[in-house]
Amino acid sequence: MLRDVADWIERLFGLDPATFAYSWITNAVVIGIVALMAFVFIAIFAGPVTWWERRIAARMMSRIGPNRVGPQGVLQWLADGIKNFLKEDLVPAAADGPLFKFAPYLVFGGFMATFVVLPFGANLIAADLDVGLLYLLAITGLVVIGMLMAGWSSNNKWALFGGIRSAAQLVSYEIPSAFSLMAVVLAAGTMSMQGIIKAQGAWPWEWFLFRNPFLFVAFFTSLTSSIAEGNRTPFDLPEGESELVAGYHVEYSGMRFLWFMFAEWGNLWVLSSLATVCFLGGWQIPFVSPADIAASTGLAFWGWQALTFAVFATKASLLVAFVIQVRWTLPRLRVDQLMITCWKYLVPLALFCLSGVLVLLWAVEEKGALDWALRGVSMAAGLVLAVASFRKTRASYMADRDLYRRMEGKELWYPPFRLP
Amino acid sequence: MTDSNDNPGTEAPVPACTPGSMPGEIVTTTVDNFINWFREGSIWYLLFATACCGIELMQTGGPRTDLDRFGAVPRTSPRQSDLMIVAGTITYKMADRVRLLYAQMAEPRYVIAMGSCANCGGLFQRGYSVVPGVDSIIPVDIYLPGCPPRPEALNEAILRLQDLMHGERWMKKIKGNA
Amino acid sequence: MTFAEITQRIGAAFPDGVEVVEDTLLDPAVRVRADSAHAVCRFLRDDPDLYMDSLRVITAVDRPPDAIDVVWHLLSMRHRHTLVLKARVPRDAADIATVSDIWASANWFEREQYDLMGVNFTGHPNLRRLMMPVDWVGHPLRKDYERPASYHGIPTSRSDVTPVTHAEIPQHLPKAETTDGLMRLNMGPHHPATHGVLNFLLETDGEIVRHAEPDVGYLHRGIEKIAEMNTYAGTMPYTDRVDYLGGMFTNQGWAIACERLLGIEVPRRAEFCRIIACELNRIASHLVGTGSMAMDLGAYTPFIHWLRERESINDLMERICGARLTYTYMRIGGVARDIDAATLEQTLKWLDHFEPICAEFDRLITGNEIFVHRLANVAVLTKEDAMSFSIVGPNLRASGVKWDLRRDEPYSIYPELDFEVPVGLGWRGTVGDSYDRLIVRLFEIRECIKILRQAIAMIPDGEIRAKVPRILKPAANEAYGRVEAPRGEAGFYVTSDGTDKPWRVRIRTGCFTAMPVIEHLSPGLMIADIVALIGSLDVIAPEVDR
Repeated sequence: MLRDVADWIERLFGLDPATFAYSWITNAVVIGIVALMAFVFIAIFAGPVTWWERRIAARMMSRIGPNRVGPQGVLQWLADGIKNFLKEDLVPAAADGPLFKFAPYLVFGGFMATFVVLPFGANLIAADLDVGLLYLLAITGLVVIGMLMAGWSSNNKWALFGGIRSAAQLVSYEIPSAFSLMAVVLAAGTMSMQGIIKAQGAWPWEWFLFRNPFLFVAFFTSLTSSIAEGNRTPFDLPEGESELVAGYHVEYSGMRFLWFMFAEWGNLWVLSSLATVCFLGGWQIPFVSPADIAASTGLAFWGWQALTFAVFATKASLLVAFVIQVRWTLPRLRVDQLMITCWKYLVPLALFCLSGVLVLLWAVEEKGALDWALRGVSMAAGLVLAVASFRKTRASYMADRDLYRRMEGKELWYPPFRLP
Repeated sequence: MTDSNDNPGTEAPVPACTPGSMPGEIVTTTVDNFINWFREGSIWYLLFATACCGIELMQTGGPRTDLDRFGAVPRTSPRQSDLMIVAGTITYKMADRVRLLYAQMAEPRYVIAMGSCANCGGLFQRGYSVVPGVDSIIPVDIYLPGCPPRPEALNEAILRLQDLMHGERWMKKIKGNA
Repeated sequence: MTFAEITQRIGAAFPDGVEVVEDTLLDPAVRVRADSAHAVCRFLRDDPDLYMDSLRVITAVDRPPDAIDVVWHLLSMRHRHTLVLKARVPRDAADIATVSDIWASANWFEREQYDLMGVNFTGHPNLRRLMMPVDWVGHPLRKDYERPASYHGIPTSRSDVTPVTHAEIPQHLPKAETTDGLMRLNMGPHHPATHGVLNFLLETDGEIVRHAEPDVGYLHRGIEKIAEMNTYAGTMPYTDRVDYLGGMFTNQGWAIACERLLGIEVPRRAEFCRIIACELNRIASHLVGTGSMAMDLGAYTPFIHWLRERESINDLMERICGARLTYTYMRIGGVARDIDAATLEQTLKWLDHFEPICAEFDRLITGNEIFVHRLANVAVLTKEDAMSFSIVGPNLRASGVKWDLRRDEPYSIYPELDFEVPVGLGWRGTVGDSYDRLIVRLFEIRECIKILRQAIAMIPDGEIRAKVPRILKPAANEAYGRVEAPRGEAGFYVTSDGTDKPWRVRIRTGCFTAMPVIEHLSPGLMIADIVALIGSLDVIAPEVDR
C-alpha cells in the first residue's frame, strides 16, 4: 500500500519508479505522512472518547457530565489537553531523570506502533505485514517496559507498586490473549490482518466469532485479556485510584501525564479494532467481495474505502462503548484474583480453544454439513447468551419500572439528558 | 507590554481581556482568552478532604451539583491537579502535610479554602490543636465561608476561580519568563 | 446484678481495695486503691457472675490541685449490667498499672489519656502520644495547660496570622531511608481510601502487608477541651462535628447526658421527632458507608447512586432542621423545631421511592461476584476479638454479637417500636468478615425504613421542648449518656461541678475502638484488603480524633 502511494507520487513528478535512485526519500515522506495521519486519527479518537466516556459514566451515575466547553462539552478533551500542555513539567528531585522523562514516550511509542498493522478499511492500512498479528502482540511489550520504567524511575513507592503490578499483569495476560488469537490464525491460515479479515465474510455466520464453538469462546477470552492489557476496570490494578493513589503515573504532571492518558484511551481503539479484525469480520460489507473493492478505481475506490471504514469504525465503537460500560459497572479485582483468573481459567481455556480449533480444522471440511452445523451451534450459543442477558436486563428493568416512572415525574429529581 | 518590566514588584492591574493599543497585544490577548477558556474548562481538583466539608465536597461531585459539568474532576495525585480545595479543619499535625501537598502540585496551582475552619479556624479557634486558617500555611486564592458551605456555594467558588483564571495573561507570563 | 451486689463482691474479694463507694452519683461508682485497680479489673473480667467483657471507655479527670481520677466504664454484655470503676492517682506522679492486657481496647484509650492528660500507665506496651504531634509540649486536657503562642512557626491565634504568599513555599526534598527487606509505606493522611485524614504505616512484603500501624490525630480538634470552655447548650454545635455523617446521634447523646444531669423529662412528641431525625440520619450515614466501600473497591457508580439518594435525605433534613450536614437539631430537653405534617408526608413518599432502590443497589453491586470475592473471608474479626477490642455497632453485630443499644439498653421510644437487629451470619463467607460488615449495614437501612414508618404513624401531638431554665447549672454529678449511632455507641461522659460549664467531657465513639483492630487484623492481608477492611469498618477521622 505504502509502496503504491510512493510509486504514484514518483509518477506525479514524472519519474519512473522502477529506475528512480532516491526512492527512499519518497518512501520516507509517505511513511511520515501516514504516521502523522495515524497520530491525528488517534488524537481525534482518544480525545473525544474521553469526553464520550465521561458522558456515558455520568449518565450511568445519573449525573450530566462535561457540557461547558463547546456544544454539550465535545471540546472537553481539547481543554484537558491544552491545560495539561501548559502545566509545569515536574521531575521530582529524587527521580531518575532520564528514565522518568523517557518512559511516557516509550508507552506512547509502543501503543502508536500498533497502528502500523491495524487496518481501518479495505485498503486503509499502513503496512499489511505477513506477520501482522505477531508484530502487534510483540510491539505492545514496549508498553510494559514503559510503565515499569515510569513506576521505577519515579522513586515513589506507590508508583513502584503500579509499575510492578502492570508488568505482572500485562505479561500474564499476553498469554491467553496470544493463545486465543492464535486460534484465529489457525482458522484463517494467515497472520496478516487483511488476510484474517478476508478469510471471514460480511454476514455474522461468516465471522470467526460464530465459525465454531471454540472460536466463540476464544472471542471472550481474547476480549477479557485485551481489557486486562488495557488496564481497564475491573483490571485497573496498576493505577487503581483507591489503592495506589494513581499508580505508575502518580508523579507525572502536565504533558508527560498526557502521553499516558493518550495511550490509555487510544488503547481502547486498539483492543476493539483487534477484536473486530479477528472475530467480527472487520470491514467486510455484504454483497461486496474484497476482490471487487480491490478492482475498483478512482472515485469508486475511495468510496469503498470510506464505506468500509464506516463499517469497521461502527463495529469498533460499539465494542468501545461496551468496554466503557463494563468499566463503570464492575469493581476491581484483587491482585491474586487477577493472577488466578489469568493462569487458572483464561490460559487453560484459551489453550483448549486453540486445540479445539486445531482438531476441527483437521476433522471438518470447510463449508461441509458439519461446518454449517458448528456455525449453527455457535450462533445458537450467541443467541442464547444475548436472549439471556436481554431477559435479565428486562427483568431488572421491570422490577424497577415503577421507580423509573416516578423518577421521571416531577416530584423526584432526575437530570434531563440535555442541559445547556 | 513593558509595564510590568518597568516597575518590577508592582504588578499593574491590567483589566481582563481588554485589547491594548499595540497590534501585538491584540494577538496575545486573543490567544490568552482562547487559552484561558480551555484552562477554565478543565480544573482538576485534588481529592483532599479532612473534615465535614469533605462530605459536602463529595456531594458537590454528586448528581445534583455535578462538578464534572465544568470539566472539574477529582485527581488523587497532587502532581496532576490544578486546584486544592482545603475542605475542613487543619490541625498542627496535619499542617506540614498540607504544605507538602501544595509543594507537590505543578504550576499553575490554586487553592480554595472551603469552610470556616480552613478560613480562620472557625468553631475550633479555641482549641489547642487547630491551625487558625489555612492561609497561615499556604497561599489561598478563594475564601469560601460556611460551616460547611453548601454544594451550590462550592460551585460558585469554582465559577469565581474561573473568573480569576480568565484575567490571567498567559502569553505575557511566558514571555516574561523567557 | 445491681450496683450494691457488685460492690459487695468487690469488697469481699478485695477487703482493703475499695476506697469510696460513690452511690449518690447518677451512675454509681466504686473507687478502688490505685495499686489494686489492675487486680480488680482482672477480677471483674474473669468472675463468671460479673463478667465485664466490654470496656466502654477510659477517662482521666483532672482534679486539681493534687489528684487525677482514672475512670473505667465497664459493661457486661452477657449479664447486662454496668459499673463505673475509679482510681485516684497523684497529679505530679500519675502512675497506674495498665489494663491493656485485660481488654485490648484499653491500649488506645490509655495512650490517648497519656497524651492528653499525662497519666502514665505503667507496663503499657506502647505508651506514646496518640493525638498530638510527637514534639508537642504538655498535656492539653489538664486544667492548668496554656497553649503555646506558635507551633513550628504557625501562630495559634488568628489575629497573629499574616497570609503566606506563593514565594514562601519551600521546595520539598525527599529524605533517604534505610531498608531491611520490608517496604515501609505511608498510607495517608492524604490517600483516597482512608476516608479523610487517617494514616497507616504499612510494612509490606510485596503486596502482602506484614504490619499496619494506624497513626491518628490529624483531625484532633480538642472538642473535649472546648466543651469545658462552653456552656452545656453551647456545646451542642460541636457535637455535630464529632461525627459529620451522623450528627443527629452525637446531638442526642449529648442531650441525653445533659438531661440526665439536670433531671429533665423530654416530651413524647420531641422523642418521636428525635427518632425520626436520627433514623433518617442513620440511612444517610450508611449510604455513605456502604457506597464509599464500593468506591474503594473500584465501583464508582453505586456510590454516586447513593449520593443521589442522600441528597433527598438532605432535603428532608433541611425541612426538619434547616441544615444539610451539621444539624444541631436537638436541644437539651427537646428539639429545636417541630416536624410538620407535610414533611412527614414527604418522608413517607421518599421511603416508598427509596425502598426499591435498595434492591437496585443489591442487584448492582451487593450480589456482584467480584465484589463478593473481594470481601468474603477477608479480615475476619472473631466474636472474642470484637468483644476484647470493645467494638460496637454494626461491626460488632457483623461478628455475630446481637448487641444493639436500642434493644438492649433501650432509650427514648425504641421499646415501643418493632424492629430487627441484623447480625452477621457469614452470609457469603465467615462470620465477621468484611462482607458481613457490609450486609449488616444494608439490612440496617431496611430496618430504619421500618422504624421510620412506625414512628411517623405513631407520632403524638404535644410539646416539643420541656420547660428548661435559661441557664443550665446542674449540681456536681456525673452522667454517661449513650446512643446507638451508625458507627456504634456514641457516649458522652459528663462531669459537672455546679457551674454552668461542664468540668470534664469525655466522648466515646465507635470508630476510636475500631481503629486498633486494623493493626490486629492486618498481618497477612494484601494492600487491597486493607482498603476493603478500612471501608468495611466505616471509620471516619473526626470520630477517631474528635
